[in-house]
Amino acid sequence: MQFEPVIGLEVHVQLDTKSKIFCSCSTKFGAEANNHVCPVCMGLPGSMPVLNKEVVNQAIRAGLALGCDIQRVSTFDRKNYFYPDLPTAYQKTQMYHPICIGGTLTIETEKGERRTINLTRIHIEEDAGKLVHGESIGASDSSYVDLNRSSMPLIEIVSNPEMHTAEEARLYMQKLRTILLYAGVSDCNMEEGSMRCDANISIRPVGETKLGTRVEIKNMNSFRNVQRAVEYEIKRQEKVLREGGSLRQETRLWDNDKQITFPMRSKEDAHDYRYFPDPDLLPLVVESDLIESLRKGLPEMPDSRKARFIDQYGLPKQDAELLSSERSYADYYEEALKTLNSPKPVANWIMSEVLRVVNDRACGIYETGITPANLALLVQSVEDGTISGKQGKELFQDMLASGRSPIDIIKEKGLAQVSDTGALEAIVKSVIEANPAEAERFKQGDKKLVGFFVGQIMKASQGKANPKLVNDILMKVLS
Amino acid sequence: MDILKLSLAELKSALDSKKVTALEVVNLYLDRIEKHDKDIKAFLHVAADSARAEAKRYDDMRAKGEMVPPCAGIPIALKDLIVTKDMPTTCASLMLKDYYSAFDAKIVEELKEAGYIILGKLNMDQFAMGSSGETSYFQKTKNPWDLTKVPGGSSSGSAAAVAAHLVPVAIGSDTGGSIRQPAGYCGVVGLKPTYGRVSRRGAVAYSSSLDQLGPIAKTMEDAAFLMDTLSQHDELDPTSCAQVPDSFHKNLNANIKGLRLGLPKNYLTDDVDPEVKSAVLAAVEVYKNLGAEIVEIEMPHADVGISVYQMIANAEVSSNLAKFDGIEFGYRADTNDLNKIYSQTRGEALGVEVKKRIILGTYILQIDQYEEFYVRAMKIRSLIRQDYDNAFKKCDLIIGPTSSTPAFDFGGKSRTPMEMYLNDLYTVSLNLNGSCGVSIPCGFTKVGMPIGLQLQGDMYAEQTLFNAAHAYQNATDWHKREIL
Repeated sequence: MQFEPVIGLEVHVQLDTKSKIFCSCSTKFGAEANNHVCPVCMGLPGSMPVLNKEVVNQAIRAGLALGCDIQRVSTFDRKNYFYPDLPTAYQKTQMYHPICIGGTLTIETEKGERRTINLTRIHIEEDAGKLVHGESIGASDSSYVDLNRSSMPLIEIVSNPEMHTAEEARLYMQKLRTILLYAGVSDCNMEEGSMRCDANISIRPVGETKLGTRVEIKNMNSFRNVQRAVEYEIKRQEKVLREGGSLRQETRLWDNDKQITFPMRSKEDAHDYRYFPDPDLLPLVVESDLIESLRKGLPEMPDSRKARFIDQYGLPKQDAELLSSERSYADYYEEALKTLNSPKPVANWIMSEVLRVVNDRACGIYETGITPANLALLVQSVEDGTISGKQGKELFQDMLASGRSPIDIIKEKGLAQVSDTGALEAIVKSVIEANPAEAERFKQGDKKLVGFFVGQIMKASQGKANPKLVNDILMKVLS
Repeated sequence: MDILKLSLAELKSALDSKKVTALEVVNLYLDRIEKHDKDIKAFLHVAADSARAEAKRYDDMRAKGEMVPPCAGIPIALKDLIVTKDMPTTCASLMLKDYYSAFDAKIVEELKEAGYIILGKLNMDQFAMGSSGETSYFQKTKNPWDLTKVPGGSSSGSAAAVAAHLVPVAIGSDTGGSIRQPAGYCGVVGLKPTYGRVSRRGAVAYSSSLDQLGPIAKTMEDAAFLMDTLSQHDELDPTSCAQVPDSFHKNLNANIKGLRLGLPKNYLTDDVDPEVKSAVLAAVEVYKNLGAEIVEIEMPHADVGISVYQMIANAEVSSNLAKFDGIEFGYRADTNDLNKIYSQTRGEALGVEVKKRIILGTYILQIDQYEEFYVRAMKIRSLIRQDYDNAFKKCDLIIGPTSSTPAFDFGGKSRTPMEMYLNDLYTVSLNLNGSCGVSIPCGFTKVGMPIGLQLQGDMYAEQTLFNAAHAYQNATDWHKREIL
């Protein structure tokens, strides 16, 4: 029997805001334990939450970027459970009336198949603090609570169960990251936990329309792990069914060392979270003016930018794909084009040289020391023959080290090629005069000697002669 | 000059004109607390030293001719669920014994800024759950009119302290009648302002959608005077109303000719104590003589108010009180096992009444019951609001009893919880509606216990409410009767 996996993803994304969701504490990562706390995010008796408007703006931006229907009225609910990292013993979330409904995300598989995944909803919620175990900070048999993360702003993006392969799950995550980075909603750093993914996976016989028993997988902290965990879980479920067993509804954790999923809790142990509307938080009313102004503030999204790069600049698909994969790449590219409108050469230089540096240094494209305008001037110098391609690459290294303009470096180092035909003719003639025997053989038809003469001429010009011009003049003088 | 008989406004001008010093006033009340509170047991904490120091500071400032805050030197005391940095906040529970808050409640900031001197913290039913004051972990406050009777609750200490002149005015909280009912039992004025009128920030939450802080005072005039300090907008309380009134006190107007008072048809049933009934009907006559028009109204859902209240308040209780888990603050049971920290801490440190309500609320919110109980209760809450909306088309205020009986004996009602809950019959619906109401003294029983008259107003209709209560007190002297 053939099985069809059905996968839905729930992705938590930490919103990029200066302060927490219900208080003015800083959201900066890496502070000392319990330094970014106040009565509100510590849940002290009598404290009250005040919704941060920037959190709402960011959630709306995310919703607009993903084509969601932004709700004019949404509400906050309490999810009640006891855990030491949750100081109020309830999480403020949006269970019954989330801020965004619907939406889509389009992925393209490696086979080139485009698939549009529908979203169920996006809702706003707060993060919990975290427990620190063991002796690193105190007694080895104790656990400590750090509330710096308590009340950090999150959105949860829930997809419909519409994906069918582990690859699709990974691509969904990567595309989601690209879009959210474009929208400026989050830094989407999976290692630091600002983007987290839970996967709901079930399998069913091909042709069956009813969903199988659902298993939730948690703790996958990279795109690769998402793919591996989903792959593993699909195989595990298939094996259970093929061996005549039955699956149970449960939550499992991905073990990255062992590369397996293992049970965390079964459905029977699942909490009844006793959701109900939070009486401290009034319904969130969003004016349509706000939605429109946020919509106008959004940049062009990656799919449309990629299409435009192909259309407007005639870039090959792969180039357009790579240059639109990050908003900063695309911005950098188009800024460079403002200085030099040569789409393909500029694209080539960014893809081969600039992005190599970005990858080596693991830095942003704007952090290499080479501005888009300077890169464009460099490409221009090569394109118009002021310097050779080889010189261009050396100049690139100079610019990287110094951050200076290529024009200045060319001037200072005298890199410019000699393109003055009069001057070049003089050099060519002197070289021919110095090598009469070779000149004669060339005239007799030994065309291989062209390389010899070009070499001599370049030497005589200290490498500055424009090679193309040299060729032309040589032919003219010798024939 | 008998300071105890001065209104707050008179006390202010006596202080301003240096006829009396703040220290004399504070000492007078501290002495009375010292002398009488061992019997009444209204205070859980008396901040004598800081109160005297504060009084001296204001006296010095006045002596030097410096500017002082408008109410500098007027003593006040707070129900012990209002958090304070420099005094413990216990909610009358073992859970928060010796708990000091990291911040002051908004109302504390407002009072201090206005110059009020906080004499201490007042006893209450544990976490404000109770109608007799008896659920306090620490002590049972007595009714100053008869020490064998309860003072009412949950603002037991606030009502008793004002009635016994241990403090000229106090703050209470009202979730289902917890200001009005004890004020009625103790023969003082208890005001529940419109929801959102007074910031709730720093009031330990019982039921967040119903809780409201307000004054307990000797007269309506004093309550209005204090409300001028408390009616501020608080940006850090999302439910605080943005509209800030002009001075209630300055605008008090005892001329109520043409005021329409609604008397609900189904209110004064045979369940109401006959002495209460006749006192309320007599008050209606007083109003007629003052030029008010009495209109008959209907409140069709008045009888289900208690059930709806039980559902909503307890659902919120189960969530609001979950933070008292022994992890971050307050009592922690002596165990290292996480689940035992939760169960034993809460088992040992929360009172029976509190646990009862948490369990009930937890049940109500469970996924299988949620629609049937919570959602349905919210729908009926809307119907109750409609009742009020319809009533206020026909009248300006609703008149009736605060409670169906006068104060009862200790232990008398604890054995029958339903009877105890029914005690809130006349007060809970107003919290469900969210609007304002007041209890004022309107007579005494043959054995000398006070009877409370309740006036209920519309959303933000405080001025109308205050004028009517003030007019009644101008025409009567129930509020002037002294405890023998």
